[in-house]
Amino acid sequence: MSWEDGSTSWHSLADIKNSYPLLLAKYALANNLHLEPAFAWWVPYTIKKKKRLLKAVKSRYSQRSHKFGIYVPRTVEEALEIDKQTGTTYWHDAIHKEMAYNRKAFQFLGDDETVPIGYKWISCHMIFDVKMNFT
Amino acid sequence: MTNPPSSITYSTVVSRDSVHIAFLLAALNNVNILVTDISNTYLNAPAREKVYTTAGPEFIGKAVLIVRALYGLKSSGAAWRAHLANTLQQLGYKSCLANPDVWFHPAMKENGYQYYDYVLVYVDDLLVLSHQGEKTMKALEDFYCLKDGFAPPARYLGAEVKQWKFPPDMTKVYWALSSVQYVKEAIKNIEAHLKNKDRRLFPMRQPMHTDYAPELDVTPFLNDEEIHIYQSQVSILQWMVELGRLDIYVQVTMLSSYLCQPCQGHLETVYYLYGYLKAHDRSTLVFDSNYVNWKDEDFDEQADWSGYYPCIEEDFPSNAPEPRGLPVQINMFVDASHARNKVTR
Repeated sequence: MSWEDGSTSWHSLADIKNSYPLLLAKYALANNLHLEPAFAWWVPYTIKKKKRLLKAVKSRYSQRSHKFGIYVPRTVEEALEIDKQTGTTYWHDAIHKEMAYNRKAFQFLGDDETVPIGYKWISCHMIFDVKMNFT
Repeated sequence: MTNPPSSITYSTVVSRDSVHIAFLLAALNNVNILVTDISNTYLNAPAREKVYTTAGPEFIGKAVLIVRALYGLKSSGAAWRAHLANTLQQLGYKSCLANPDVWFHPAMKENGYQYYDYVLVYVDDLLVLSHQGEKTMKALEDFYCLKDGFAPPARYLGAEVKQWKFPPDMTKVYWALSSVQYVKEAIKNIEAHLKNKDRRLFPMRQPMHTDYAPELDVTPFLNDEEIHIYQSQVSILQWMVELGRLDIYVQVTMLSSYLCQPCQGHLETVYYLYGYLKAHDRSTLVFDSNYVNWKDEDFDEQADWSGYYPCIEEDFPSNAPEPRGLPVQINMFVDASHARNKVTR
């Protein structure tokens, strides 16, 4: 890799592909490397899906770790772990507050009840975020 | 993920044109405007999809039916809209045929003045126009929890809402929409961008040079990075138009035609347009309900158009609601120059 400050360094192809897929695909194409085995399986696809990939990379929720300087968890376990580490109950309280609002959306089935015919199973998860007013 | 049919997922929101007309009607009928936001909106509506999930280990992994429009379900937006529509119908409101998210209801002031009061719905943002707006809001509070109560609007759908007064009658209040803050921020950004290119943004007197025709621009095409800048800047300008900057509507519409493959001249025109905005960064759209008194010499009202438009009759739709309140004067300015397009003219 040749950096803007003039320095150079070596990195594995997988790392560069993960961080700069489009730049690397364009480089491979410009230098006629796109037919090499290491590139042939993904470069044409990346070029073809350029716009879609750029959009996906920008909105990749899983890549975001911090917002306004606060670590944003991805799972409930992670949220509670943060509370444990920081000795606070912020995420715990936020989960309780949200679940209190959402409680009415769920109807628990009794022990002798079964799921009615026609119902489809879906997975549910919580999305964590930090608002500008930190609420 | 569920894949429900579009018949149970399709939903609409009020159009910005309807919001503009509503602000005008508020001044015309001299009524108050109140806004509110409904909290945990979707959870008020019953679920439209038959779905269930498994509860966590604290509930021994029991099956749980989802009975409300949970956030994330495809049909939740439409479920909420149908639920609110049902509530507004119970309160005596009817949906407008021209825009189903405008709801109206016959009303009468203490002095016998008859008009329609309105509720405009943008998902969970409600705008109420009525001389008894508080009463409508309190009726809504019986059904929903209103976030922070209700108040006259300071902002609505991204635009700043102001109350405006001008002579001769300084007691009458007109509503106005402005995007001053947004425009100033956008100018700041474009100035920083131009500074990197050792350029400056000069104030301009007009949004576009009068001799410039974007369809005849033969300057070289922009590169990928410049195309991205052009597209994002035109999007920002489009949003300004949405927020009430109608003075750049035509120019932005013209520049929007070249989003796929813009030329350098088109990008320069965007900078020129920003120069105009820099010189006019405080423009505000005021909804003036006064009637324009056209002088007889401006228009020949006796002109015979039957040769051009034979057999034309202007009928109201048979299902149009009964007219109430003061009439609205519509002034149309017809531009025969095809928006200055020199190719299609």
